[in-house]
Amino acid sequence: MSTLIAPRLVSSRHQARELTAGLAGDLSDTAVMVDCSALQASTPSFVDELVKAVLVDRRGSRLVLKGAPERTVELARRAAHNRGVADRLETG
Amino acid sequence: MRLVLPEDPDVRSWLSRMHLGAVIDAFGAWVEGALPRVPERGRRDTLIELERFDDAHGSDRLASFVWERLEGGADGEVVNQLFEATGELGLNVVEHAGSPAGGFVAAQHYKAGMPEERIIVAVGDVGVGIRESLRPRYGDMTDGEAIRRAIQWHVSRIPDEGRGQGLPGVVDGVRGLDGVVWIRSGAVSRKITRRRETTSEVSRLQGTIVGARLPCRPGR
Repeated sequence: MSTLIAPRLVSSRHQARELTAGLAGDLSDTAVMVDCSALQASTPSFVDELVKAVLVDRRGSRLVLKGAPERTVELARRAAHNRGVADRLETG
Repeated sequence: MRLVLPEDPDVRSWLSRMHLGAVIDAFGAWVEGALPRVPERGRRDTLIELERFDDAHGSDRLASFVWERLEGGADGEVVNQLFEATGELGLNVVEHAGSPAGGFVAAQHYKAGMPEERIIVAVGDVGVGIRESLRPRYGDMTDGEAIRRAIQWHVSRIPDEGRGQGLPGVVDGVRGLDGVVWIRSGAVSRKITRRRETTSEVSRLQGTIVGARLPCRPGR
């Protein structure tokens, strides 16, 4: 499993691309866990880009959001649903 | 570029207090008449003066700045919504506006401690406007139709299934907290509240301005 640490405030798609830039290009056998324990607020665009970068572009086996605020979880579920990858998103 | 100041002295003073002069200076603009000198007392808790950004880093910085300055001054859901609005609207400027001068943000906190306490945030640009931004994908339309389209989910200049959430999300979130959104682009201004939407014709604007007003403690 690869682990990323989300900063306290995240807003742009650019930030999501920066956060995921170090991940391998093919994650079809890898789960990615994002430690959101410090995260306080996120925008829909950041969360959508995170879902896209991990589950769509790199075909990640799972994206796990750990300790995310309720609003971020809601945004991630919506983004994963829009992109047809809701079965590979875990929140908790 | 020539800036003609408004006649109302109160508006001139407000523009001066919002540091319009400093922003305009960066563009070598000539100001017709002078902005008045306004004595400044510390208003860190109530005012975010006009700030410019020109890329995603700048937009991120300003969204975080809005959060830091407003945190604790309103209900958490209001501060969160203003953070989301600033971030999304800033990103729209960077990704879609084609604004050669970048974007601008300003905010003000009114009537602190009173029942009608509220916060207004506005993000603007001098880019192509909403109609021109959408035209390549959706064809010709009026400014009013363009704004109506832009506030619908999944409408975006970019054909991607995750796009088209920024502006409708702002409208939805602000409405849900009993706030008001103004969108001005081209020759049209649209005002959106929880119960109604109204469109009016205005003088043509180069670019787009979106403002959001939220009560600090909705439902109380």
